[in-house]
Amino acid sequence: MLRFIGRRVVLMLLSLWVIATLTFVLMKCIPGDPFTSEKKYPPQTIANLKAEYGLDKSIPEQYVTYITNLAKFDLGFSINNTSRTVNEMLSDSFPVSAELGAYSVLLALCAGVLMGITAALWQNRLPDYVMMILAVIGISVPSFVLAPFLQKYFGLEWKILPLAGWGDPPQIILPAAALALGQVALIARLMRSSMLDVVTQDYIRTARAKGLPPWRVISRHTLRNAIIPVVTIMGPAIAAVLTGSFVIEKIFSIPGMGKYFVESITNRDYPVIMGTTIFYASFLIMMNLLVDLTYGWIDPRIKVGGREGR
Amino acid sequence: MTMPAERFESAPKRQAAMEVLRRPSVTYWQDVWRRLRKNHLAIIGLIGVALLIIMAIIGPYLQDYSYYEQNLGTGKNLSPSGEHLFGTDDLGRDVFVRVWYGARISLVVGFAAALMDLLIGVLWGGIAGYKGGRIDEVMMRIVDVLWGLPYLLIVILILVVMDDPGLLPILIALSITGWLNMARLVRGQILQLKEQEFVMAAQTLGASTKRLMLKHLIPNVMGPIIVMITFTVPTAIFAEAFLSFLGLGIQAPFASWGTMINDSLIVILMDDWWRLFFPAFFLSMTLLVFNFLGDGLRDALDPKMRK
Repeated sequence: MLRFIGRRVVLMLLSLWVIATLTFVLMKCIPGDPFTSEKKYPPQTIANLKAEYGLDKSIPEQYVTYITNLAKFDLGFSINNTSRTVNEMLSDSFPVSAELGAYSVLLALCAGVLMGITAALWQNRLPDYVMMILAVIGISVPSFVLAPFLQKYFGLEWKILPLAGWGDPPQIILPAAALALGQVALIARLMRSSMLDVVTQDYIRTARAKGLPPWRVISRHTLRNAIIPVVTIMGPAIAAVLTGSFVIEKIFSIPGMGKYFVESITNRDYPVIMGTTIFYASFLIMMNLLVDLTYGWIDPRIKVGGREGR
Repeated sequence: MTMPAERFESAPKRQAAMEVLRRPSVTYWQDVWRRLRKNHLAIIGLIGVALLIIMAIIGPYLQDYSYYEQNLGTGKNLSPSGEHLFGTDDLGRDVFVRVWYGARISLVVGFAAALMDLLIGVLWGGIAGYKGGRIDEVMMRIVDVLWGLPYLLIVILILVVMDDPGLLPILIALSITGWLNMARLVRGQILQLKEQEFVMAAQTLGASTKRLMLKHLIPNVMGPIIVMITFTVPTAIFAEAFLSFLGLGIQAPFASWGTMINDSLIVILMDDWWRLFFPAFFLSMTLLVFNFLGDGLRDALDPKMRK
């Protein structure tokens, strides 16, 4: 187990280094520099600005400074908004995105598992068909297609929920639902097939044979085993919610990281793009590690150290 | 112990006749097709994909407008009618023609991604799996490291750097990162296959590595590869729409479903529903039919399901 964690941590650091280097190289490939603009500054000003941001040094020197700063979690300054560091922007906006993301993942997990159970218990009957049709819609309708329709009906026509914004608890419902839908569908499908798999096992028959009431067989024996595969897709699910938040935060004007990220792309604010990318990547990589460890922990039958069969 | 000859009895002629195969033998692919045909959803998917391809080819010619032709006078925001089947947008462009033009872009992106999956993914995974040892170790470590990186983030980063929105940068960005799944799948399959007797037989007969790969190993992995591709296509189509929606993909005057949805977000507050509805509907439908087809193919090709 320890060896496995060690291996994964090394791989994780390697991934982080690759993405940091990749962003650096890509940013250096961009023709021109951030101070090329319509306004003509005197050469001295440009030189001073470059010295201020360390752009007058050679590329290897810049790379070393960049990596050292990263190791100290210093992501630099925004170029469009010089008074703010990328760290400040992230620490303002990350809690917002994290809250939205956490609610979406929670919603996806609860709704998906419940739907999967319902479908499996009433297999090939009406509830199964309804759930699976919902799941198919969930898989094929992207969140940025669903979101405007949710806004139109719940926010505008029926006036049940706020149209957009952030701060009031009801304002979280629509964006969280839009983000969660695709994952609800995936989890429901997985949960259904895994439930159907488990109910044919011998230990379920044993549990029934010894006279346990059906709900106890389900809660004690079926569910506990059927839910394990769901953990495996939590990594990709978190990643999908995170990338989905770029567009959802834009649509619902939520002041989260996704909104800043999209804005920095539009404004070509390179330090912010770099900083946010690296932050996102490290967050996802760590989440993946966490999910893998949880998986090994809740199901001791799985040897996490093994490489074959993956 | 010896048996006297008279204790043997010759088998009746009938028994020999029973050994004759009466029906033509069914090849693997005929078998797959038979199973696929029974699956209604898969057939819906197949028909849907076919219709989509046909409409992407002929759709833009069905009305006498081009995708970029503007009509700023009287033609703005017209609701669907015989003249404009899907209405017009805020610049007076015909939504019907633009939707099918968008279908072309989506399909090109989808099929290009599938092609890259085949070229890079199959080759990479095939070589790693077949060679094994050091080479496998190094090649798969590269995949593992790239695997840890979030797909859409890398694509966004590459697009930001290329700074020239359009179809080609999207294709490049998607193909740099899209083949990892396929490489892992093919490697795993080849690892299992290469231990089997038919490979040893081919090797004993002196088949070259190239022949072994192309004639023996790859055809045997074709089933899983096809299933993987049917899921690659909708993933790539989604990615293109997502990026165009963010403003990183296809730009005006070209029409992409993602761009069209983004352009019409604001009209959700008004009554011009058709501008959002049609691209949104066809994007979802496309993802839906490819998913149906993929699910059906997986069931038809999966050896575990075979009884």
